[in-house]
Amino acid sequence: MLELKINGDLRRIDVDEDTPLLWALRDELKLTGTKFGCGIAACGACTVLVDGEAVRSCSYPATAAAGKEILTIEGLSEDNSHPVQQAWIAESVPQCGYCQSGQIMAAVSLLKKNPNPTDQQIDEQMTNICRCGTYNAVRRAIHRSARQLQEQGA
Amino acid sequence: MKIENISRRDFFRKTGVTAGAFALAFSFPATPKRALAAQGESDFIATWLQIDEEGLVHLWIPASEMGQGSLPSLAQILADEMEADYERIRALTAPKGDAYKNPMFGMQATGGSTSVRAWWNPLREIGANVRMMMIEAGAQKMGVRPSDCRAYNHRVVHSSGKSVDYAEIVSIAAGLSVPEKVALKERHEHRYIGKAMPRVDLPAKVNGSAQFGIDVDLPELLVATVMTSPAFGGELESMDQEAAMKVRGVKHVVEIPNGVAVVATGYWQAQKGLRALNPSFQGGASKGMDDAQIEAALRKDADNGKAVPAHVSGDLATGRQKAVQSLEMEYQVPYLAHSTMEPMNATAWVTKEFAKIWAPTQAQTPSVMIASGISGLPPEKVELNTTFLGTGLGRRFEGDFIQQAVLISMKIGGKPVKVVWSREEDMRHDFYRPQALSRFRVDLDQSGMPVAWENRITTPSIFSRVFPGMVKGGLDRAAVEGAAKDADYELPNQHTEYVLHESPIPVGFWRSVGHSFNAFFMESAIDEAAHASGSDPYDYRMKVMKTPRLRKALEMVAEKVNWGSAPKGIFQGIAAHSSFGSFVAQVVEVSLPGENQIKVERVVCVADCGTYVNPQIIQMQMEGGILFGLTAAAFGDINFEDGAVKQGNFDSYRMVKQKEVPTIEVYVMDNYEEGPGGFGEPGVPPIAPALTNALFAATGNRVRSLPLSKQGFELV
Repeated sequence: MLELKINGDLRRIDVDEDTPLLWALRDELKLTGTKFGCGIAACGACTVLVDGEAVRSCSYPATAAAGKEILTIEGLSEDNSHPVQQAWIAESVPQCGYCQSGQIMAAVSLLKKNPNPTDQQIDEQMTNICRCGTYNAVRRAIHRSARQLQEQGA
Repeated sequence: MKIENISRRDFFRKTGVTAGAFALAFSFPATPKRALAAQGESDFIATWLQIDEEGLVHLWIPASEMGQGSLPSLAQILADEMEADYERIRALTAPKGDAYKNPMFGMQATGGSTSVRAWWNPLREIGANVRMMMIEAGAQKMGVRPSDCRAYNHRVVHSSGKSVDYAEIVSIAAGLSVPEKVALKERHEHRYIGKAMPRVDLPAKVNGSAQFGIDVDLPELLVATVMTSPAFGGELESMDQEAAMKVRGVKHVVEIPNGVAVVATGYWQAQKGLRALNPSFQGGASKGMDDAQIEAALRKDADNGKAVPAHVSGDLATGRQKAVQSLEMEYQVPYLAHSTMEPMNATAWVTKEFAKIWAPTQAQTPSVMIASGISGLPPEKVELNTTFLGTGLGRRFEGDFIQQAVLISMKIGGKPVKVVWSREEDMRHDFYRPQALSRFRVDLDQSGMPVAWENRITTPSIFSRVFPGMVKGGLDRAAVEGAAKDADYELPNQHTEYVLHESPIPVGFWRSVGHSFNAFFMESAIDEAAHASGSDPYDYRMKVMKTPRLRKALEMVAEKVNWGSAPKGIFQGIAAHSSFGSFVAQVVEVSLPGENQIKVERVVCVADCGTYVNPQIIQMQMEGGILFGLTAAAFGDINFEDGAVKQGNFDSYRMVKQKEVPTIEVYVMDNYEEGPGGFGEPGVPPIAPALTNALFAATGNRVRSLPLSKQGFELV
């Protein structure tokens, strides 16, 4: 049995050692907000945070997350109140929405490390693919989140 | 259109209408235009909307939501006409039902940028009916005359100022008959239509709760993954079933057309099972073919194939007598994959009594027919629920993934199963945007105006597979759209012809379909004509343009971008194209940071989509269309080896990412008089030619074959 701490809860699952965290989350724990896009860590749709670091869960073994804090999109807030979610709504970012869990988690991680990223830093850090082309809205939403977080911090 | 108040009728169980609620249903008279729609599908009375006793409005939206904003746009139309409080509406994609057949298609399906165009009038009428019935019910409740009342924001308001909430009068409204005639709102009365209302699907799409096809879950649900022959149409040759069955969690190995499925307790187990199964394949129509052979076959048809006229006006020879110069040009585009963000998937539960399907599909009616055909169940026994679509892009108009799910569920003894493709399977078993070749001879007179316009388009036909009845005399209209009679320019002595190229590579609808390549061909040819006659590309277009609304868009884009006055080191390219009832002009500004490097600095886009419901959704669709087209123009190239697609994932089939994304400015023109145009697709066609025209302005290098990466240019 593998014990994982996800969104603050301890969960026990029985999976093969090589099971990626993505499929442990989706198929075993029914946390389907984290999405499957490519399986090779190329698109970022499966991004979650492990001890605050953005990881691409399709290529990250579930066993490697044991003893660490896993944060998925479902754990960001109860009511869409996380500043990044609020910014995503305010900038009307999602179109089809499929990649957005990953985009949001990548943005949360970026803002943790760098509370006020420049455009160039966003370019470098946000490498998720969006087939709807919401990139400029993602950029605006990150800047908006940064302002919001700074106001909260001030 | 027939509208019914079904609140009191005995459909509660069937429609899910709650007792005590007010509910309207409507249906169109049976006017099936096409074979697919001709089957009497269902006696299901589709509910259109319900207002429950708390006054919450539940809307069933008859279009699949794949990002294009049909769900929020259509909800906005209904909410506006019925004077609902925007906060109190809930919208879901409708299940299968005859009433939800798209009036422009005659079947339940989403595509062709039709959702708002097709549903604009019916939905306004429905909404207006609700408004009138609420006024009637509110007047009864307050004991006043309906003519002294109006509806506003979920309330019926009497001239005295007293008012009641919709929640208080649903039971009265439930007993009323539907008015014979209703007045639609005037433009100035719209409160949501025409405004950038927040999309109703936003909240679910920022917390992971939006349910896509891949998220469907049922008790005892098994997950299947598939592998089909890499060469199209090949057959399973061998496999190690024993090894697969030994993998923990694997339950079944099932043969399917052209391949095999491994069914397990979860996706990862199924994938492991598939690896252990190690299937091999033989044969296939494309077997042995590589890029060179595929291109040679296309060229052979372009040279000698049977050409049929797509549009002929005047006489080429007569026109050419006035010519002082003649341009011969050949343009080409490759096969392209859709690469929807959500890989293909579907869930089916098929027993002897019923078939239940949950799928991210653009094509409900065809999917039901497929399920009915395989299972032998009559269509009315097939239930179909449409989830959110992780993009559709035309790929989800196909039924192959539905077919697999239905078949596998039957073969494992009528148990529910979710089929989920790997990215590699998705990329290698697409219905590709067809390769296309266009050969022009354009003759210009002394003043540079075209006097003869010859264009032969050679490309596979999508319709000959999907709706063969629509291909008449060898002409597939989708293959020549945007280049035939519907060309946006005054082209005297025009001779546009089509050669239907038979190819073993499956082809399908890819966002903007034939316009995706014909705009590149036409707008490049026009640009070449402009330069050949020593004219400015914008001025030249204004002289030759015949489509009035596109002219205005062109004029506006030139003004917005400050055409002709780009800063040093910035080069501009322009293109304009009408498609799907809308008119779009774009200017691309590029710089050249290094050798063979091209940076798109800015794209300015003007869109005339006629009446618009939500300008922000249109803006986002234009922007998304631009980046979709930019990805294709810069990198898009599906290659073949031994009859199979070489690319398998995003490492070899690149998508534009954040760092390559330019500044994009979109201006949505105000044109309420014209009725709504499409907006999901029209942003795509102009971007490729605007980009290559800019590249020509920058380098003098005319790119006549896409993508840019193949010509040695790198997008940075």
